[in-house]
Amino acid sequence: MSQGPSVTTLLPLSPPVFHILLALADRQRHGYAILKEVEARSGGQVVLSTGTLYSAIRRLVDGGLIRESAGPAGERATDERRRYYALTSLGRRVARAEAKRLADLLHEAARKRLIGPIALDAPGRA
Amino acid sequence: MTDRVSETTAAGVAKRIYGVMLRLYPRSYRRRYAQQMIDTFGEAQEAHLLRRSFAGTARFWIREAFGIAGTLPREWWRAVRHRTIVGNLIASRLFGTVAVFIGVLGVYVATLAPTVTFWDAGEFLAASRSLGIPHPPGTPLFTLLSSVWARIVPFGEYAFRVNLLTAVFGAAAAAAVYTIVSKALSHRSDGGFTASVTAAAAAMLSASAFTVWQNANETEVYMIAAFAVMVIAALALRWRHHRGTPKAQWILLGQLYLGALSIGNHLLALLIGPAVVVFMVHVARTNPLPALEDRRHEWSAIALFGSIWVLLIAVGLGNGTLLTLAAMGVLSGTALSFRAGDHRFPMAAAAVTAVGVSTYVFLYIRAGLQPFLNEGDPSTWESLLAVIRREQYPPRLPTDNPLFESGPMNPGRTLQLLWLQTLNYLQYFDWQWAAGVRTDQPAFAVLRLPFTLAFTALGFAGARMLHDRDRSVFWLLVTLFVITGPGLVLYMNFRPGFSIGYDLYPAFADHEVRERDYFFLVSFQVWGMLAGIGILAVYQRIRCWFERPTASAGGGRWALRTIPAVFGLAVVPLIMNAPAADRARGPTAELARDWAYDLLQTVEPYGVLFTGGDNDTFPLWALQAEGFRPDVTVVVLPLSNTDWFIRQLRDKPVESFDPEDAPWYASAAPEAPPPPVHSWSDQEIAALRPMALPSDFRFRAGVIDEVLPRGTPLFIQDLLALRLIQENVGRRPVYLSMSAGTNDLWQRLGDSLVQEGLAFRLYAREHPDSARLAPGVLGPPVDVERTDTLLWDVYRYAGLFDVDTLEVDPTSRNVTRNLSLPYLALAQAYFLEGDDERARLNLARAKHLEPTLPTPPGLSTPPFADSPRVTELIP
Repeated sequence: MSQGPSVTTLLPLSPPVFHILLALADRQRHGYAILKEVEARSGGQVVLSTGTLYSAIRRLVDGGLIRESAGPAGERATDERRRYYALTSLGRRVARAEAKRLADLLHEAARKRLIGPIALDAPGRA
Repeated sequence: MTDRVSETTAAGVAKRIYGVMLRLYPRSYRRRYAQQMIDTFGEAQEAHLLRRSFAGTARFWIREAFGIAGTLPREWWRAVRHRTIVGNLIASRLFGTVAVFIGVLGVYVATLAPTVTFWDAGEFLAASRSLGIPHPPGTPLFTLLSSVWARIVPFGEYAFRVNLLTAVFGAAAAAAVYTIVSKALSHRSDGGFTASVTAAAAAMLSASAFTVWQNANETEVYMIAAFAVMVIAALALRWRHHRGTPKAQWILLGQLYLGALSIGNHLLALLIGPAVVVFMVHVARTNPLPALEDRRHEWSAIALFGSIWVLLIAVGLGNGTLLTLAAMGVLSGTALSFRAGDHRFPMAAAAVTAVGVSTYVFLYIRAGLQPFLNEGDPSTWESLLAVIRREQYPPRLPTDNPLFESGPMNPGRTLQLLWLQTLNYLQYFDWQWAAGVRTDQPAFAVLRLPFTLAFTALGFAGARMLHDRDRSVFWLLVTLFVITGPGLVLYMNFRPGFSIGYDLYPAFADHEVRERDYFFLVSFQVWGMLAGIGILAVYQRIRCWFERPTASAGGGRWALRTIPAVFGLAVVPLIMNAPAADRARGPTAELARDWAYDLLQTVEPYGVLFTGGDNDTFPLWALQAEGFRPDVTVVVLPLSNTDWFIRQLRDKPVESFDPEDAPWYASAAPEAPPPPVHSWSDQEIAALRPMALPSDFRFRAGVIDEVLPRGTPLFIQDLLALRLIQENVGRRPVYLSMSAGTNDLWQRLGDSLVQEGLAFRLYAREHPDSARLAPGVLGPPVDVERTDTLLWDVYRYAGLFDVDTLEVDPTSRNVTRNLSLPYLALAQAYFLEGDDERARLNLARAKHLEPTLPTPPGLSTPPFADSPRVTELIP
């Protein structure tokens, strides 16, 4: 049975890409909503430019990690020009793998006492 | 308030600057994301403007500039790596549009009629050649276009060149279809290669639908109308792209100009107007422009556009009530535009519309110069209006019973008629996808049904997909289909179809004189577009099925590679319609020209030939306009009821007989007779009225001495016939085309008629030489020697003797039946003489042309057919 592309070959993700996947993890969003979500979630630390956003979106769409979607029913009728994006199952797996990779790094940093203890799942169980 | 306006202006300028910066990206990338990026940038920019911080705005711009600069190399590298320049070219919409144009043109040219065809083609060709005026409403645009085109194209005979013009417009319509579908599928996403292939499939399906194809390979006005429809629809999508910019209004003006111009070709093109308005309203409602001022401009422009379009329809129909309503609408739309502060658009709209309809001035100018063809004689404003309003034709309201005259006595349309009309439309729809299957069964052949059902289902699937992908275009196409299909069924209110409904209406006269599928051509084009999109829906559904996790790896991969083959469905109608739509091959390719040649050659120099109209007239006009046998005066009986036709007959100069046209008449050709062919004055013509003779009337003309009894109905055409016969005794020989039929008057003159080939000659100066006569099969005797010469040495048959005449189209079949009758008469004559060999030869040809002989339907059995010897003669 075809498993599709191996997620590990796509890792690590660049910060903007991971942020975009995170922004789409809970709901489909259009371009500007992604920008706002990334900025808000990072407390203003990560502010994507439009050019960076869409270049990343192009790569994610081509790679099958996200896809264009019809958009939420209510919003779609009011703004037909907007394009919405949603995570694909591959994108979700990749985002999960990247999160796990980062979590493993954090555990390693905590083990070496670079940071304090963190309450994350043990390595290998994400 | 001022701050808000300046902010809006600043935001607009910023978006424009950003749009210019995006041009640094490769084209393929821009096509996918430029609009989204501009929109997103605009929203982010607005948020920064609200903060009113100069430093913040500067940071914002720097970040955006770096964002572009940082991603440019990657996107260019990708573009160069994945798409060469050729690849980019192939992916472009322009390439697809040109490719579709060339491909469809190739199909149309390969099946193009080499010469004149039946029905209106001959009339249009005569008008084009002579810069004349065909039947109302005069089609000045077509005449002008075809006339210029045929003078520029350097190859082929005149008719071929004009046929080619139709094909070019047909192919251009297909190219416009490609653009529409491609844009619709790319509306909410990057269409990409799949969208291009789907658009090409849609264009091919709409171009190869049977009726579309058959109207694209002969001289006709419908493909120019279809082209206008598709271009106006494509412009609507372009309008959507440029909303809120000055370009949007330019596009509306372009659409109005095209619509107004199209009136000079055919009113069919105007039916796109309501669909475009529905589209624009849907776009404006579901995606309103951000600025209130822009919204006001847009709505007032849409209102004015819609009102002017109704005005155009009212002008085209010559409908006074509609004209008044439309004028009120235009005034309201203008007021709205003025109120929105837009003064220029109403003025420009009025100007381009006036320029568009100005082609009708051509009719006025040319009619005054008395061209070869001058139907309706619109040389006065009154007669021009009458031509535009088609006053020559009896009116028919949608509420009328079409079998009766319109008026208070009309019993009204019935459900039964409506059912037959609907059935008639479904019958034509059934032809579109596999017309080459069972051509002998015009109504719902079982073998065609699978194709019809398949493409019907594909159309529905396509409509559903379009509903999800681009709802505005969905409404555009659905409205267009409803108006040009079922809507026209309701409006046109045709008699029962040519080939159906004989169980309910057995009389041939109760049916349309020909198939009317061409009226619904645009609806078939639209369904072809939807079916093309439907193929994409099928493709995606199959792909999803094979891509599901449980699909087997090997089989799934193999299947995935072969799924694109479903797009091959797009060429099914091309293959299945080709045998029926082809006008380039077979006997029907040149039959109209040969038939016209035969009829004209039946007539001795300077003769007068009465014809029945349409197929025994228009091809003759086409040949005469080219300079062949112009000495023959063709008197069209139905047109002889109009005053302008009688005047034109009188004023027509005598054209010289060219012995090279008909060498067999050269030695006996008389001097040209003096004009006119009749001497009625304008006042006498105007006073002509149909009548029932109030008393017995003795008609004398040369040796003809016939009493027409009291009460004999005489129409104006009969009065003209009597006058022409009387005034031309000894000056011009008079003939009645066999295909014109014989009414009461001609039957009373039957004793003076002799069949000569395809016509009856009227002997008025002297009695015919009885030694040359034998009993005919249609009543009058047959001149054996003349008919034998005409049939065996003069007439041309376009290869009819090399094919099975049962398999030719219905129009050609009527012609072959007519051609068979003089052979039958000769066969009988030789049979009675005892010349069995010649009788056999003639009967063999008669039977080939009409396989049901010797008892063809609609005719009484010829006397000789009862003879026992006859069975031995029939091959």
